[in-house]
Amino acid sequence: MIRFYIIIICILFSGELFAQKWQIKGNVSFISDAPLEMISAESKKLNGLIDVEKSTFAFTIPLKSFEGFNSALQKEHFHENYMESGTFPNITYAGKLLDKFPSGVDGVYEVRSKGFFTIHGVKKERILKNTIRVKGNKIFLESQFTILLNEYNIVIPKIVNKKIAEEIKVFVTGEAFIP
Amino acid sequence: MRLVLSFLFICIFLVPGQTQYLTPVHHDIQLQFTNLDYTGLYRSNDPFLYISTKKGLIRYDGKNFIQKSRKNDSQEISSLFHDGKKMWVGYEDGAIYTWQNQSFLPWNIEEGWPKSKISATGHLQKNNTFWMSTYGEGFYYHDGSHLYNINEEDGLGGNDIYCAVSDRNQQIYAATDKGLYVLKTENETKVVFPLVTEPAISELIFTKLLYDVSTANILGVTYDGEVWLVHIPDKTAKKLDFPFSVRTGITIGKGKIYVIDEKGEKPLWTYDLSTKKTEKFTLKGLENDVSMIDLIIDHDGILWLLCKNNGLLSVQSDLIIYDVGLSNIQAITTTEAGIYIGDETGLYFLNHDGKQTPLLKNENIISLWLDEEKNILWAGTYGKGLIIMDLLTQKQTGITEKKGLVNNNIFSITSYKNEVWIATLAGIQVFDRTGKPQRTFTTKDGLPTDYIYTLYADRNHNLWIGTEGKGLLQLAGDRFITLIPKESIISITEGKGNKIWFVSPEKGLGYRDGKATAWYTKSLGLTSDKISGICTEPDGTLLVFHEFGYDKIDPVTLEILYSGNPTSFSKWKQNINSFSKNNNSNYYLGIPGHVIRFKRGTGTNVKPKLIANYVRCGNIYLKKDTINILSHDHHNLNVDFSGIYFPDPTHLQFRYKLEPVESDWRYTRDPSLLYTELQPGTYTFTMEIGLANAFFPKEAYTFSFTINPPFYTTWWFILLIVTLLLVAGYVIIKYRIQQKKRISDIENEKVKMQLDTLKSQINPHFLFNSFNTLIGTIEENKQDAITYVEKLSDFYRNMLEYRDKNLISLAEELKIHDDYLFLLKQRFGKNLIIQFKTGNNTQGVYVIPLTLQLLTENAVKHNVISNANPLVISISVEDDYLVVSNPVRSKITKEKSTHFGLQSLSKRYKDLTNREIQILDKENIFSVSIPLQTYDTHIDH
Repeated sequence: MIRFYIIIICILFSGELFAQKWQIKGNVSFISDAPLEMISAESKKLNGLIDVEKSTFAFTIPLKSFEGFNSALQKEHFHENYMESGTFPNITYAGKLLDKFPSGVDGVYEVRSKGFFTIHGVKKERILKNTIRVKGNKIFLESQFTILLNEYNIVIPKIVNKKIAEEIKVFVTGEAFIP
Repeated sequence: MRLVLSFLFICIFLVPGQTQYLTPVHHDIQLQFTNLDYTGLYRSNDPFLYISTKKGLIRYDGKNFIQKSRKNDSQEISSLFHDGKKMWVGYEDGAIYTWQNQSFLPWNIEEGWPKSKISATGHLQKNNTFWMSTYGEGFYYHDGSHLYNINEEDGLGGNDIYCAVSDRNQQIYAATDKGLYVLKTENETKVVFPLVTEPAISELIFTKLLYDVSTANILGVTYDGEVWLVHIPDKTAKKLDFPFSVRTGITIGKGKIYVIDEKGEKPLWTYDLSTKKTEKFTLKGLENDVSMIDLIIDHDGILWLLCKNNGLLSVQSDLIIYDVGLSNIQAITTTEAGIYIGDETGLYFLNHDGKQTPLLKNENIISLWLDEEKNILWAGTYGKGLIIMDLLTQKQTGITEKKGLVNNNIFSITSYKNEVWIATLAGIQVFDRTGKPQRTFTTKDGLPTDYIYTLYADRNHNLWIGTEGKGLLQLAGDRFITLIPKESIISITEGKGNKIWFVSPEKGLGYRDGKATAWYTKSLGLTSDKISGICTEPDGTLLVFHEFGYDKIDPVTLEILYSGNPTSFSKWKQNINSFSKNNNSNYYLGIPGHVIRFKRGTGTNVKPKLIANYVRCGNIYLKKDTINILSHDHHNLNVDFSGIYFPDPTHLQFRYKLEPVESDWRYTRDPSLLYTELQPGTYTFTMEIGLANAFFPKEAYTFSFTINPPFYTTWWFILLIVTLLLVAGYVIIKYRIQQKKRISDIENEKVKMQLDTLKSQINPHFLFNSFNTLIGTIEENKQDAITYVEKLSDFYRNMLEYRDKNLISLAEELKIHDDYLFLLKQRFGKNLIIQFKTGNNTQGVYVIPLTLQLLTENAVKHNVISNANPLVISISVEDDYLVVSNPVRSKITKEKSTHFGLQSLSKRYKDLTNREIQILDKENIFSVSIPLQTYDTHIDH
């Protein structure tokens, strides 16, 4: 976690005075579509920074902010058994953008990012395909990807493996504010 | 015309030439596709050859070209790779497509395609990883679930990768602006480091990289056209000097580097990786224009050239032709330095560069033998004896009949037990190694004939002798044993499996297996039985030279391993002694005008490959090694195969059969077939590929399938139908019987009712009453009496008229009833009041005739009618009922009643209309409701 804040601080305070930095607020939702049960949850507490000039970015989301689930017990299991939110309170994704785009020109751009996910204490590199929509002063961000639970050391007991999918679909939307 | 041309052809080659060249074969890609912009060639891991163009990818099987491309494509294909199952096609804009069987599809991955040119693609079998290098974004690899990137930030020498290759240790070498980098993944971590650290080499920018598996070398071509050989295990790099700039025309394989010098007179250069020798060759037909686009050597040893103007060409890389300008080569023998050629005009020496020097003139040389130890060449002439030449001093010694030679015509020279044996037209003569005659064998010594064609000493120190007309002999001590009588034997050799093979001009190829003799004929797959000579490869396989090329036979299994003609000469026409093999693993073969040099094993490891493009019945694709079950409408079998044999596609033949329809093989050159309207049953389709007459059952494809009969011919369906028909028949018959019974019941009731009505009408009471009324009326009013009688007679007529009808309209019924009422009115006067509330619709509704009359009569019969108590009968239509009601004032003395009238009426209504009469006797009101029919029922007899 400390490392993540260091990254954010570095991004915030490093470099040129006029470097264009976007602060991102947004939502993250996920769906686990297992044969016996579909679980979904959403959080509105996505926080991020994109340094457009350096093509770097960092995102974080506190796990405790996820709402939804099919029951309170399920939510409890999510935090205590699977994500261990007490020990690993946040999910982070930080790295560099692979594609350049004209940030001042209206349009829709496919921008891929190469960065490290930190989920459940496991750090993994991932490339994500994102859509950035620039319209006047407003900048919107959208992304869709899948997370494989076994890649992040999240073990599902066999007894519930028909209720929790191995592959979690994640949807991200965000809006940028230029400070 | 052809004569003139061939004459010119011969004239050209009569001029003694000094060139050695390869003969490229043109593949007519330009016939099928026009205005193609070629970009590259690919052949590996897949039998097909691929040609990339700016308009898509073309696949070639030696005969047909098939093109696949992206929709509306303007992007150039920038990389090709086949992983054994599918072709990966990388584009300039970063798109990646795959081609498998018939489908050419985009490769969809969650992470999306790169946006830069895909400069190379490949596959690591170790961890099943597909990789690609890009020009702009570094390196990507996909492990089956995710795509990962390696770029500058991971330690790569730059994000612009010009080219990349992977080696057999599953490492990838990428050419960057900072030299060659090694990439690999170990336990999911990226490992990146520069390969060669010497500064001079690390500055080289390679634009083309090729990996040679057999020597573990990477061949790199730099931006400036330099060629470097990087030896991976030693991490050393060596520059190869070519006096020209190399671009795309370079390839490595089969132990050699092949380079094209586009402006050179001899454009093809080969560099032998083991001997480090360079050779240069002319490419026949490309003397003026070799504008290379791509060059590859494939696993079959075929060199493929893609040229801007000449299109696709192929060359058998290890088959070189020397123009020698000798029209009748009769003997050849080889040394390290070159070859000695015996012709009817003399003896010549040809070095490996193609330089030719005459050694003897005006001698008709028909046999040669080289004593390699003493470096002495023995040459046998036709008619002028033996010439022995010391190759160092060029000193010649002639031995003729005058000098002790048994005969001046020498057909064969060979060494046997440290002596030299020569075959002549006067028997066999033995010399010592210096040329002194030792002894002779003639007919006097037990030879069956003096005409000896050939001598052959095998590894077990047996000497075999081929004679004119007296067969094959073997030397045993001082005696000759005749093994085969009668035949002429012109060539003998020993193959593996201890078989001695021989050639007879009349009977073709034969062999001696132990004590038995057998003939290997065309029916076993031999291309021709006009055989000029035979010899064996170092591994013991047999080469058979004939007019159309040569066949290769495994002497143990007797299988044909190769059959064809790798040259562009249609007929070989060689003489019996005009071939030789040397220790440098080359064969030399003399044919008119030329000497052909080819490597041992040429074409022998290449077997024709059979590929099933599709085998389908209707729209169902059949699977191999399983019984495919099909429904009856999939009765059209459609097969399409490709045969691949690039060394000589014209030799390909196919044979097939569909059992049990065809029990014998059918032969074709076009393996696309259609069988229509196959009957239900189980079938087995087999397709085999072959070269000329030799087929390769191991390469066969077999498909089994069962076409089920249609359901309507199955026993259970027929049984079901028969049962259903029986049940239906039973039901119909039963219904008919019931209906008939109902009709007859109705008839019965009708007759009964008629009888009853008649009875009541001729009831004496009725008549008595009527007559009383009539008498009274006559006295009062004569006219009324006449009307009364008329009405009475109308009433009886109506009864007769309507009694047979089942139903009449209510209007008609009311009319009949009027007559009856008139009669009653005359009798009862104002004491009988009839109230009608029938409404207007009396035409469309029906009743049984005389219903109203019956009911009125009943009312009159059972009730008191007097001045004080008049009878009020109400006739009304309520809903769909005709209601007849009256207040009950029962007579004290009841008229005798049969009780039949109302019952019978009720029954008739039920039968005819399925509705019943409702009778109500309540609160002193007696009412009868008659159901009204809105249509005339069908029962109307």
